[in-house]
Amino acid sequence: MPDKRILVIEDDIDVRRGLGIRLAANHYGVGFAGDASSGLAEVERQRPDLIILDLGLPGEDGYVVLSKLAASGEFAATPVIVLSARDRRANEQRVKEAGAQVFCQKPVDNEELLGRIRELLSPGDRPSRE
Amino acid sequence: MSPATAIADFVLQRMTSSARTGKEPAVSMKGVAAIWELRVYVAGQTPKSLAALSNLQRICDEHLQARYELEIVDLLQKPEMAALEQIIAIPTVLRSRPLPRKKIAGDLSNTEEVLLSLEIPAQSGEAEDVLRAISSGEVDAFVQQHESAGEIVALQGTEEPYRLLLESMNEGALTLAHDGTILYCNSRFAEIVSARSEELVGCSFQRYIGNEQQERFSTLLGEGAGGSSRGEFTLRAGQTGNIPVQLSFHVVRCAGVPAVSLLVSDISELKRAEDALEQSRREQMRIKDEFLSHVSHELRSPLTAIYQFVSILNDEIAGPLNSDQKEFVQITGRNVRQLHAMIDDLLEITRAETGKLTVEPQWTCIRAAIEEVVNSSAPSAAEKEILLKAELPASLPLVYADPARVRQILTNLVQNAIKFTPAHGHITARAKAGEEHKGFLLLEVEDTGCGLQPEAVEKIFERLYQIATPTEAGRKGLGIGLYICKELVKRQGGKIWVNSEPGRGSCFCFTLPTASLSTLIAPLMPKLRSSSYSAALFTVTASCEAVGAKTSPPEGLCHEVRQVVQRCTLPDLDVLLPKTGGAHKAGRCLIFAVTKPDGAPVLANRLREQLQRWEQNQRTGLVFSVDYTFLELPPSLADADNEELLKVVTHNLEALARLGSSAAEG
Repeated sequence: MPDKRILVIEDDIDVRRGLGIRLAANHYGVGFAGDASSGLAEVERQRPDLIILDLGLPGEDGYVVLSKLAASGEFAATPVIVLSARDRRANEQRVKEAGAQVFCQKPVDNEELLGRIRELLSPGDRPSRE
Repeated sequence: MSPATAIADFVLQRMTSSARTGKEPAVSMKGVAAIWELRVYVAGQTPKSLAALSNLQRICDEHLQARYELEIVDLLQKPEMAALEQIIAIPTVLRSRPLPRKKIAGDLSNTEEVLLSLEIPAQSGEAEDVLRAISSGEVDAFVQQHESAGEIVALQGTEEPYRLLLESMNEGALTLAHDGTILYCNSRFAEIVSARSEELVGCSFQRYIGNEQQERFSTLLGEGAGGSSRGEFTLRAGQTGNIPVQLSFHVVRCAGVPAVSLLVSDISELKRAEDALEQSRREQMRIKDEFLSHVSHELRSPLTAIYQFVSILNDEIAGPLNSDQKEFVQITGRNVRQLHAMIDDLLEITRAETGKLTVEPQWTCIRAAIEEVVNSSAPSAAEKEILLKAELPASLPLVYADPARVRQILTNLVQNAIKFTPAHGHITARAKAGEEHKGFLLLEVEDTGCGLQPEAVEKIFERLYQIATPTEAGRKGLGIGLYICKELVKRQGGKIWVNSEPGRGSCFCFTLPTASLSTLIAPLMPKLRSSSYSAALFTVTASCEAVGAKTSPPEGLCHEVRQVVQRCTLPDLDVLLPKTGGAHKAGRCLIFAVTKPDGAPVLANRLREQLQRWEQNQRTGLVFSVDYTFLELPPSLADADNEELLKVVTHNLEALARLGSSAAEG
């Protein structure tokens, strides 16, 4: 089975690089984008299995990415983990309503992030919703 | 001493002595039954006027005995009146109103004339003259006798400069009798309350005090009569509206009789300035909070990068480390975690201060929270070789609290305990429901650390409080963790405190409200009201195959059942787990569920399946049976108000719970 591909949309190059190394070490294929529009373009091009999305991006923010993904039809089902320095209480509910599955607060614990990724990428083990 | 003062003194002495002898006043004059209040204008100190006064005094003493009050008004300052040479004195009656107005002018050394003038009382409007006279500094003595007590109060011997001072000062100045009756007031006070001074004398000062402040006013007036007192009040002043004032009471003794002098300072301006100051303080706080919040958020991004690369090094993703390198990377990691916690605390404190520290309470099982915190803190306790454990009773009530916030509080308390407990110490996290805190669950984090000085016990939950003698351990931290804990506990309806002695460890305690049946059911009311839902009571019974039904209950059965129920997600299902102690002891767990009518059998099947699966994993040797009954709710529920409905449902449930547990015990 080929590696699952994760797209990281994050403007901080250090955070991006650190995430990339950590994800690659866990055998994920990693792609990057630094703002909303190139992020959406990369989604089309790379067709990732999962997106890690920052909220505070230059220009249009992460919420714009979420709404465009939701409206795209094709990528509406791609799981999104929002990874943000913004306040959890003010944003968690909002990002979920906008279509993200998970809100992670920066700095996120590696185990937590990797656990969430595993959950989202193996739907068979997910608790079934009937 | 001016002649007028000397005369006033004379009159006062006479009256005081007659009041002191307690001579019962006898009224010999026809048609007169009240106290007389006499006012005498003295125009010049001629032998004639002195004789007239003396004559008046004699007549009053003879005919009115002690039942009169006398004012002597010096007309020297009032040339337009003094010019009327024929007016020597004008006695008037002030008290008995309304009375016909009559002014008598003439030589009062004529006894008949004095008697006549005393007999014909003048209108009460005359009070105006007195006050005007007082205002313009014409009065030397103001004497008043009360019907009941024979009390005399005098504004006596004040030299003109002082009187003028009283009138020109920016504060209201009054003399009050011990019951609050205004005996004198200056024009500034009249101005403050937008009234005419002549209307004020004889009135009760309390008319300007709102009902809610009356009691406090009486207290201060009483204290003022015994020495001095002061307080802030709001004067209700007719058209002017409410005026914030500072009242200062001081005892004054006039001719041996106590009265109260009252200074009224209008502090509207001060209040306005205070309000403006408060507003600007708030604005500055807001800017500070915004700044803090912004900074804290901004700090998170670089911290994320630091954390990532430190963990990449530590996990040797970038290559193997030698033992020194490994140790140093771990030290870095520990400090990153500390920095992270501090940033979180900084954010929390700005939230606490702007009222944005939110809690989202729900029915919560506290067992999971405590176990989770103990587990996650275990590594840092282990580093110091501290034994960290949880002590939890088999049965714990649900609490109405925010689970994330409870974990936050517990984590803070446990981390603090680790910080202040020396190596090989013990830390225990407990939860207990007891009689002592009825309706609350008590949570404790006890350590064998250095303990606290009594002063610290009192202040440790205050914002920015730091222990006065910072030990090596106490060096780190912002002094806001416990303040945040206090705010969080408070917002969840509980209390937090600490029991500690120096050298004997500390026990941090806090309470959270527990679930009662009626509070549990309350949120379900709207569904119960609708006919498309029904309420059912499920009984889960655990029995042991090998030993028979009478076995000890499985530890935490209800907790397990709860977890199972939560996995049985059904649409339109609301489940409550009121696990009463009795039911639990009998190996039973009661579940109250509100479902669509066909939901109950589905839930029962699901429960059976899940419990069976749980048993296959756990191998406890237990057999579970699941039964349910629909609750009969009165048909008139649709009309019942919430309270009534709640009563019916609670009653039903309690009766069923009792039945369930007694059946199991029997």
